[in-house]
Amino acid sequence: MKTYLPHYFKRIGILFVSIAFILSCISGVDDFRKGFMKGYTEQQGLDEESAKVDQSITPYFTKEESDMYANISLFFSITGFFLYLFSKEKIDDEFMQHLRLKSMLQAFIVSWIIYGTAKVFSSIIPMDGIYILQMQLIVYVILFQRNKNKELSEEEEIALRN
Amino acid sequence: MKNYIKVERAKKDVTQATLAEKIGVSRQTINAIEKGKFTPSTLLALKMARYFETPVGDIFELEEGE
Repeated sequence: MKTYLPHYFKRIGILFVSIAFILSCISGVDDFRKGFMKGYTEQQGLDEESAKVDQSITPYFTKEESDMYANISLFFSITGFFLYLFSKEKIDDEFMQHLRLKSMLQAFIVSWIIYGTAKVFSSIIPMDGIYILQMQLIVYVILFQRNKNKELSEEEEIALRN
Repeated sequence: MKNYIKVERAKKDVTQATLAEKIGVSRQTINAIEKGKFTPSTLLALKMARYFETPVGDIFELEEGE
C-alpha cells in the first residue's frame, strides 16, 4: 500500500484522535452525570430519587449541541486515523508495506467478527457504517503496531537462545 | 526458500542493524528475511549480494519442492 504523507503526519493524526477523544467526552458528559447519579442513588437505596434523576439534573448541553460534539469528534477521529494510516514509517521499506497489508487484512477480519458478534445483540449495540469504519481503523492501528513490535531484537533472540 | 544471510554477516562481521543501514532497509526487514518470514524483492536481494560481494544464488537457495 502506497503511503503519501511524511512521517510527522503520524503525530498530527495522533493529535486529531486526542481531540476526538476530548470532544467525545464532552458530548457524553450529561449522560455520564445522569448515569452516575442514578447508580449512586440506587446504591444508597433511594429508588424514588433515582427515578427523578433525569428531571433533577440540569444538562450542560442541549441534545443538538451534544450531537454536534459527537459528530465533530467522529470527523476528527476518522481523519486522524487516516492521517496515521497514510503516513510513512521512519524507514518505509518493502517489509513495512508487507506488514501494512497483513495488518489491514487482519483488521478487516477481526472487525467483522466483532461486528457479527455485536449484531447478535443488535438491540443493545447499534452499529452504523461510519462506526464500523472507525472500528476497523482502530483495530488496524493496534494490529500494525503489534506486528511491527513482534520482530525480536538480536539481543532478545540471543537471550532466548541462552 | 533458504538463505545464508546470517553466514554472510558472520563472514563480514556485521550486525543486522549495520547491514540494514548499508542497504537502506529497517533492521526488522533483515531479521524477517533471515528467519524466512519474508521473501525480499529482486532489488533487495541484489543489493545484499552487492554488499556481500557474493552472487545472489550463494545467498538465496530454493528448497526442494519449490
